[in-house]
Amino acid sequence: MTGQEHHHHTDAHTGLDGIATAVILVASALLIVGVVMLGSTSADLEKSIFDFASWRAPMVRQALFAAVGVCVMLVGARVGPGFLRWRTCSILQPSVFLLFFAVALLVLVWAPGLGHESHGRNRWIDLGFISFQPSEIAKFALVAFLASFLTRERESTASHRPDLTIPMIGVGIVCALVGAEDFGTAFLLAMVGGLVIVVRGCPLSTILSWSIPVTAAFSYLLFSQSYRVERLMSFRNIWDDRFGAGFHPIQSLGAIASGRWTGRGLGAGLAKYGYLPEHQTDFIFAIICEETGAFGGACVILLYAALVSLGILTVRRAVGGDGGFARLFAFGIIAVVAAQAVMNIAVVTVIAPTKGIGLPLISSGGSGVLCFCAAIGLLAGVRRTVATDTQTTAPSLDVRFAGSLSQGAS
Amino acid sequence: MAKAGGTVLVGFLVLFAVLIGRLVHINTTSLSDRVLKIVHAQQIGHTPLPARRGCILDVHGRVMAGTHDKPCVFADPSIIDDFMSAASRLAPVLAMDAGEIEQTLRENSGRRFCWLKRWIEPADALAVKALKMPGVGVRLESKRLYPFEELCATTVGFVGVDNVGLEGMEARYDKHLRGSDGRHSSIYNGHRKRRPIWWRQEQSTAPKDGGHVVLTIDAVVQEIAQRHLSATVEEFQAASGTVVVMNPHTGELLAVAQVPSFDPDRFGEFSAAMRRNRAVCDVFEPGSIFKPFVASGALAAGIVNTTEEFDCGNGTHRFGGRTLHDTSPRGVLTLDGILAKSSNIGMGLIGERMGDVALHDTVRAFGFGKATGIDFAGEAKGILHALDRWTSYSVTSVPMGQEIAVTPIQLATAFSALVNGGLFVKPVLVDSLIDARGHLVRSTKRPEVVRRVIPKETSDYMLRRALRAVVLEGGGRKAALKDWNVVGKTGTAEISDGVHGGYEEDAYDSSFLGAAPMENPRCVVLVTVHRPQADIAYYGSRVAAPAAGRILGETLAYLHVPPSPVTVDGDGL
Repeated sequence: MTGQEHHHHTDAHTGLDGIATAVILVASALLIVGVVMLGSTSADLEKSIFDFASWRAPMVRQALFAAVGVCVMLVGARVGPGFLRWRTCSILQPSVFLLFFAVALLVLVWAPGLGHESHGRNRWIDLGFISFQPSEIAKFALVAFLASFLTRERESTASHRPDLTIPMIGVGIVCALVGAEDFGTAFLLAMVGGLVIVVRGCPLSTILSWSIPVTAAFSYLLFSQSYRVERLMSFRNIWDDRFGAGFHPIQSLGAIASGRWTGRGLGAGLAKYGYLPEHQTDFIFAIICEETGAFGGACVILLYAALVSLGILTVRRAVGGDGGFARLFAFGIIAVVAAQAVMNIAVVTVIAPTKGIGLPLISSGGSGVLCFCAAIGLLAGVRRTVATDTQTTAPSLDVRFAGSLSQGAS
Repeated sequence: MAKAGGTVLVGFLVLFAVLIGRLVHINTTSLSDRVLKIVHAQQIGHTPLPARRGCILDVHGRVMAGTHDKPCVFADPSIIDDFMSAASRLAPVLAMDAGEIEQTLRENSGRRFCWLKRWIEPADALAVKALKMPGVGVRLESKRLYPFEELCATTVGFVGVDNVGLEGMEARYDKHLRGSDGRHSSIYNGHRKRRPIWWRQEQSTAPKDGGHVVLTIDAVVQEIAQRHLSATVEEFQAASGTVVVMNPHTGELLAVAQVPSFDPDRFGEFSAAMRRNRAVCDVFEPGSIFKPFVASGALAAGIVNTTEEFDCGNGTHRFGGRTLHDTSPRGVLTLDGILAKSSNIGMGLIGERMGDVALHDTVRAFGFGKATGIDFAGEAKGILHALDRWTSYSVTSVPMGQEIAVTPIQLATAFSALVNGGLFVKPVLVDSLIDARGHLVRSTKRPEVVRRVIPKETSDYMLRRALRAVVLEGGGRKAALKDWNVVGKTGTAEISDGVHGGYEEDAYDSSFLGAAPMENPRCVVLVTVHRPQADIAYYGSRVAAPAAGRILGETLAYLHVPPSPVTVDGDGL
């Protein structure tokens, strides 16, 4: 260290660095996979060309959302998640507003005229020109809220014992609202919320004391709707009722097995012709495997793995000085993406029972694409330090200083 | 915190690895076969494209068994509203009982398809179409056709309703005739509707039509044989009869006729006993027609010669423990005389002279006691007792065709050896196999000479002297023809009662085994008539010889065989 100075600085002024660019590229690659697969699933000789290539066709809509999503990502990467940080003691925080907004939308799902029922569930809000799923916003609102609340600046640091009441209420409300109609997403939210809280750090006793009400709440959600239990039970043996509860899993496995290693070829899948339900959303991974083989499926998984790996790097290198907010936020976002991808693929490959949960960035759905893009954009925008020397960065006073500088600059 | 977060995220990487492992697992275990079986059954539908069954042809390509498409009327009961009115409208057109049609519809009311009447006439099919009834349709189905009906049924055989060969050549060459069905595979969507596919053609495997079997049978000769046999059986009110016509040089069978026969279209109405091929499957005690074989064997072995005289005495002669009789006193006879007069005593003397070993060898050499190897299922090998089971009577019984059972095919084949210069040729029933487009698949080798039985000189002597004498002076006179010199031997065998070596009363097998023309025999013919009414006639010379003569005459004329040259002494020598 003799001749060299530790010369840390941020690149907020120079735009995106390698990792941020890589995050956006990987996310864009997943978006493109989604667009291509939706084109493939909607190509059908028995249907009009307008079902394939008009403004209302799934592929075109998805492409439009993906294009907007990429723009959102770029903007998000410029802005960074800093604005969501809890700075003052006031309750008037952006992340709190975001959470309230999400909760309000979740309630609006039930409003007559606005709520839109599909497949017997109220998960959508229909605004005429667009319908979207508030639960998509809720995922990231919750992460933002938890990350900012858990890392908020406090006057007295005397009592360092973290108070989990407010975060748990937040998680609870969101999970309850989502879970009434969508058990899988509620489970995802609870899991990610829990992980964020645990990663932030809190004593085991606190975790244990909260686990009782959480378990009770989920048991209630599980048994309040009979189909959830049925799905869980039928998952035990899909062969017993192959035209009933076992139908979806068998069709999904059949699509994957039909693809073998290299697939039937793009567009050449058969499962989409009335065999595999939700082939544009929850089960699109099976179509990917059918048409591009286990190889193509593995490539998609590797793209998610790449996103997670880049997330790890982002978390590691995140600027200090914000009480760890950026790190926690980045972790939360990556956890949502990773957990949702794992859950979806586990369902499609019949490792887990069916839950209505999409494949991040790939499954059809504008609200999902836009929310994920916004979140990943913010993730890419997490302020980082770049070490110009050979040593890797380690949080230090310098880092904190540089971090605060960059925040001032942006 | 960063560390804990990093650990959790690395955990996700591990989960991703597990998921990739799961993809590999699905593709490498039996799980994949299991789901693919289910999924393929749902997604891919096969329509069979039936292959056309090949024909069985006679040697000149006349169709003895063919396939044609005939209209069949079917119904989709699910879209017929009123079974009763539908049935009453269809009944007159289909010439069926309305109640029967209605019952068929009712029994299939849950189904989408049932046959109402299969294989109707094209005119009736048009009438059904003209009714324009919803839920009733006509489609063509292939149907086996036997244009010659009973004529060669026992050889050609027949197929069941599913067009699978059950008997005869239909069964023996079923695989060749059947070909292989093709199929059209198409993709179905989740609602069981066939759907077009734009990335590849629907897959079709063309059916491979079955090949044809060409028999050596000549339908014309077959008809000649059948006609005269039927007439003979009717005339003598016999139980049954068999005719075999064979080319002695090649072993080709030109006709294998029998009475009774059956209609292969309605095979179910006939018992298995009526459907069996008696020429190949039935054995009988040949009687006197067996004598030439033993005589020629003795001659060939040098045990007797053509000038030697045998004293057949006054019609009775004691051999060891029993006495043989001739129908009348024969006196002193040479070999040709013994055959011409069909002297049992003369044959007994020859048999005694030969001894059991030479006699047994001779009979074996002519192919008796074992199958000829003809290309037909279920050939009987006859009965020739092993030497150690021969009794003291055997050396005198066998020479006159007793203590032995033979099939008509064995007799015709052995007689061919007798008249063709002494060669035992394997009988041939299948000329060749050709594929659906007429290309040769396999041609039966012929003549397939199995062995030499007797020297040519012996054969010539038998043909020109001894067997000719039978027709000129002996029992074969009724087989004689104006244009061709016929040779042969008659036989009248009592029918064994099958209990203790005795014989039934007034039950005979009357036979004639002959060939013509003598100069170069083109046809060997065997006529056997089983159980002619004894009070009408039962001697082979009366019952079988005339039919054999007529069959030979018509056959030789049909084959354009030039007449025998007229010789000075008139007997062809």
